[in-house]
Amino acid sequence: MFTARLSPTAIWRHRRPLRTGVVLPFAPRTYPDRPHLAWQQAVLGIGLLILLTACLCVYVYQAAQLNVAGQEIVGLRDQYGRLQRENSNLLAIYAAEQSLARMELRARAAGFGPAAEVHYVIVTPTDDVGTVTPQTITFHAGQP
Amino acid sequence: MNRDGVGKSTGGFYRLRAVEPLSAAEPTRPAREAEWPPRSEAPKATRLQIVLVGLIVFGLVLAVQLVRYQVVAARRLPAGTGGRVADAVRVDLPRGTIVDRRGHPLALETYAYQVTVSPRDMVDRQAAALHLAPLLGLDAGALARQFAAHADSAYLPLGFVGPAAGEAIRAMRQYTVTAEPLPRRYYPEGRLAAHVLGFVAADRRGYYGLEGYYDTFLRADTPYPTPPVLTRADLDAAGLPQTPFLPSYVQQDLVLTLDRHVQYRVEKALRQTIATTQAESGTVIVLLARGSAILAMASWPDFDPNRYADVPSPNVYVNQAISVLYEPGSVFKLITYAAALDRGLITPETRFQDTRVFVYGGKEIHNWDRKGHGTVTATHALAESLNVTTAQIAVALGRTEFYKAVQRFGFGQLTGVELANEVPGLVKYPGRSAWYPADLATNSFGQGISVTPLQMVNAVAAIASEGVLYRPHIVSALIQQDRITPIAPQPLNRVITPDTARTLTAMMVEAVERTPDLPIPGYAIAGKSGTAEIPLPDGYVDQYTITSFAGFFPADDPLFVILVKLDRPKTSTWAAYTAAPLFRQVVLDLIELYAIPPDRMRRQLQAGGLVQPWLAP
Repeated sequence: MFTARLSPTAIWRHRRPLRTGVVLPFAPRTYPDRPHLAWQQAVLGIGLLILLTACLCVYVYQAAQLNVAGQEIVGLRDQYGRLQRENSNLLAIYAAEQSLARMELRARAAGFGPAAEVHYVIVTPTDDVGTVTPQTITFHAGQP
Repeated sequence: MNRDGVGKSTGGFYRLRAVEPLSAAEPTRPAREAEWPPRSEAPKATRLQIVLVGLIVFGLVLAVQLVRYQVVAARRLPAGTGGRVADAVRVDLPRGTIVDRRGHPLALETYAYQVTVSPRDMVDRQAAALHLAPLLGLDAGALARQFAAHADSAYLPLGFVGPAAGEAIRAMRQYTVTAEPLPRRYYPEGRLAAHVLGFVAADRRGYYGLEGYYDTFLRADTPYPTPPVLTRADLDAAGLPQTPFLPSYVQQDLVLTLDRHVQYRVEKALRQTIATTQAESGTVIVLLARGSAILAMASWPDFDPNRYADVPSPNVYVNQAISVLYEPGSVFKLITYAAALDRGLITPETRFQDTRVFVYGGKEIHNWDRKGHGTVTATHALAESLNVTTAQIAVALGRTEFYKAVQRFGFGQLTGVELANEVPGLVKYPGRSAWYPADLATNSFGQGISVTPLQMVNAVAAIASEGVLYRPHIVSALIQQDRITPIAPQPLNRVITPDTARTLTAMMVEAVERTPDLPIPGYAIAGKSGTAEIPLPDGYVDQYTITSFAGFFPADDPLFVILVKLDRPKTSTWAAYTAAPLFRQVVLDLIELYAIPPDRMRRQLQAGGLVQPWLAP
């Protein structure tokens, strides 16, 4: 056999090409002529061009829409940040106005002061008509 | 097969193709054998080899670098890279809010606006100065001169302004003038609970206190978090106060057990006592008796966390309640008596022979008055704070049982409170090289043993809560995004039996009754004073003392546990005249703030089924 004389390396080196035409390593190489475009191919090409143009238009439109939406998001985020900062500052003012040191100063300025004495009164109903027997305990709170 | 292509089949291995025969006129040109693979592909193989070699070289370089960083320089790199990564904290991220148990904010975020201008790009610097001066609170002429002096500068910082001016500048939308909003930590109560809160420095890191302990938690990791999804109903269901400050913008907030009203009154009383006694420093802690929730924790000297840099020394930042050790003195006798009562070694009526001096381990033990009190009961010995009797009890108890009790009460170990820089205390145990037999006797009355005020008050709280030791805590809930995590009281272990706790409480009430000017009519208070000499390098000096008083009330149904401590008071070296009045004042404040009726009246209310809110733990 012809192949029996070739080593596996030689067979690999002279393997059959994956195209029709050239059949043997020592045969002259030939190439088929370039075929002319058929009218169907021309129509296909023009159609493809139109499709690509349409895709481009859609892409540009969507990109523009995205850009506009992105700008709106940036604007809203900026507005949200501003409102959030405004809210934080208002809460800080609110908290500061409620601080105990400030409230005490205002209370003292208004003439108030801590209680010097504390009275506890227990009212216990003793009969059906609501007569009560108060018990009172008084002590000095001691806070000057 | 022949060369002209005309031949016979070779058996189907190759399909032959017919070609035109060569004409005779044309010179015969030997047909060149078709090369396979074609010659034109040879350069491609060369390029491939070049790319391959390049990749191999690149891979080798990577491998060498890998070995260099992972093996050769491995020892020094982790610290350096870790440090750089840890330092990469964004300064423009806000932090979560900290509120007290009633929902009032103790720390929150506000904004300051950093104004910068670019005089180089200004068309009319004079007009810009006229426009900006009122917003910045500066003189227009001076501002114009400043612009002119930096006419070539593209970046001229003009400092910080408030929200109104900052937003007005931002609304101008001028690229030559910018007002960058930067978050700033704001403590609306000023100095209140400064040691508990800590502070946030310019690098936006939290230091000391809660800011230090919860630094990573409070730091938001995104500048635009999702809007809060927690509702008021969620907060209500979790038992949190209804407040406009929760949840905050960043939704990583802390709700404390602290009561700012109690904290305010306690700090005020501490300041007044410091001024009266001329003490160098002081600490007051108020716990809820059941659960060891911290209601107030005050130390003096204090600082304003809004102006944390304005302190004479960084030591002012240190929270004395958890970070400074002291010898508790006679307050520690409560632990010795608790252990002895719990073991059945003594009863309140057990009699002791109190001699003038008791020698143990080669050390002489004296009473505070250096006198012998003769035959005394255990109750009398505790009320009179007799060192000799206490040392005798500790010796009878034995070193093993005594130090087991010390350990059970949590001394010599961290309490686990959620505050930065807590220290564990210093307890010498038998068997260690620094321990001597005499330490058993001296430790029994609080000498030669170092504790933190929080450890001491928590041990007293264990007596108040019928013998159960709880982990002290200051955070009642964590808010993180859409999650609320309540922190429940955490019992650690039972240190004594309920019977022992009640017996010891009765002995403590007796001790308070014998303290001059301390009892409050209508209220049974359990407590114990402590006066400890301060150990110096030359030994103990009796003119410098740390005075303290620890106790709880109402004695029959404890609500509050209080410890006060004063360092080196000048007017008196005794706790009965310095710490005890402060303790009494704090008790009065709590009675007033929580509207706690006298014991008899309270018991009547409870018997009638009227349970007041303050009775809830």
